[in-house]
Amino acid sequence: MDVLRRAWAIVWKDLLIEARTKQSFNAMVFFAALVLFIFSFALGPDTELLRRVSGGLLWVGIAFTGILSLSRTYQSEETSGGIEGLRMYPGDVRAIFLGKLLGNVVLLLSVEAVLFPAAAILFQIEMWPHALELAGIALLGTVGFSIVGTFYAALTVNLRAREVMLPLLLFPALVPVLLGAVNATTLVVVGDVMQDTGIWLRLLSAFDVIFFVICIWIFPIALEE
Amino acid sequence: MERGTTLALVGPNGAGKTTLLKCLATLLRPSGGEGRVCGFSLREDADAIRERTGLLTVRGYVYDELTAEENLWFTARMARLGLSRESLRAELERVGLDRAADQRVRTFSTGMRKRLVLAQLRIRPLELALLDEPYAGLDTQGMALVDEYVREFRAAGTTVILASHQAGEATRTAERTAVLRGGKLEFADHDRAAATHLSAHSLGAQDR
Repeated sequence: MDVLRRAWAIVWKDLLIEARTKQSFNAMVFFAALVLFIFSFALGPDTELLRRVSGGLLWVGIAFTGILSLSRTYQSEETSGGIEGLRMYPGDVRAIFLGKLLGNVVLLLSVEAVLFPAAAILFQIEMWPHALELAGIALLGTVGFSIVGTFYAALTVNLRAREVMLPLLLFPALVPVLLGAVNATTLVVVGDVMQDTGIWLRLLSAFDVIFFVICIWIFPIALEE
Repeated sequence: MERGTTLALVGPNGAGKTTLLKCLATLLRPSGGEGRVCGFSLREDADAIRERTGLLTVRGYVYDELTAEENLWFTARMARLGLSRESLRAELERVGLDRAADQRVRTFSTGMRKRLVLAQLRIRPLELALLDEPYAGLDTQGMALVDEYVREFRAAGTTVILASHQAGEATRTAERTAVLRGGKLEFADHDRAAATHLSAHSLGAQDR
């Protein structure tokens, strides 16, 4: 309970700072919208083609904007003297991981809340009938993305080339998440005649559970100077 | 060090004062040797030491986009202290920030920022207070406040290590003085006058 209370304090602090500065949110929405517009222009008015590739396009936008958010995960601590300011407090340092993870999930989901309707309009996709399924996929994919991302962001926080190193380390580890999320989203949008969506959702769920356990277990080691 | 005593740790820039304080606060792992803080091993009992130790850095661990009161609330929550809003306000009043309690820290002067960091330290029941350059950027009034806090810490039985490259200020409230240079302890004595003299002469002219 103590870990959760401290994690919640970190979430509160990070989201309050983000709400006041909108530093990450604005950049993420702008970047995601740019990605969708460029693909929309490139692919033209072929509705059927857009429907078939919409899952991939959406997750390209989410992955790229997610990197923006993840690279800033611990940078918000820089104005306050760095992450050591959080490490200085007594108690399990896993509270830092949990707090940062929840903050990233909330921020990324809020961007997706703009991104999905925007994609529906641009790509002329009927999303409302599948809103629940898509929300479930977005949640599982975002949680998986954020778990690994929050962990690697901690690993690279003290590196000079962290903006380069983070995506380099992150994307290979994210292959199962992106694979599951893209396929599940595409199946929901184009119609899942073979009932395969469940397989990809199970893959996403398994990834989330396994990587959450691993990352939270070894996080204290990753945080050591 | 005996409990409740104050040590002035002086030395030129780059002598290793901040590194030593961060090692004592368990933020840096010692590359060799062994040490005990409040009776606990630096290598084995980091959490027990963090429970009892507070570190004031030059910049302070405060968030520019939060108000003074929000920063103090966050510190209390992270340090597992169940302090009411009234207690936090009272502490801000003690450091002279009551009128700036709802003001964002990014609008603060260096002195106001330092006062807030002192308040962060004071709300925690500490056995060891590590103050890194506490006089940096402060006016006379601010320096007097730091001195007052050091005396209060001592009266409460809190051990204080006060690191500074300004030997005169650092030794004012300290009972013992140590001079650090190049990561090595060059001098340690109970005689404050002798230590002040030595440290003043051992520091480079640019550091004084």
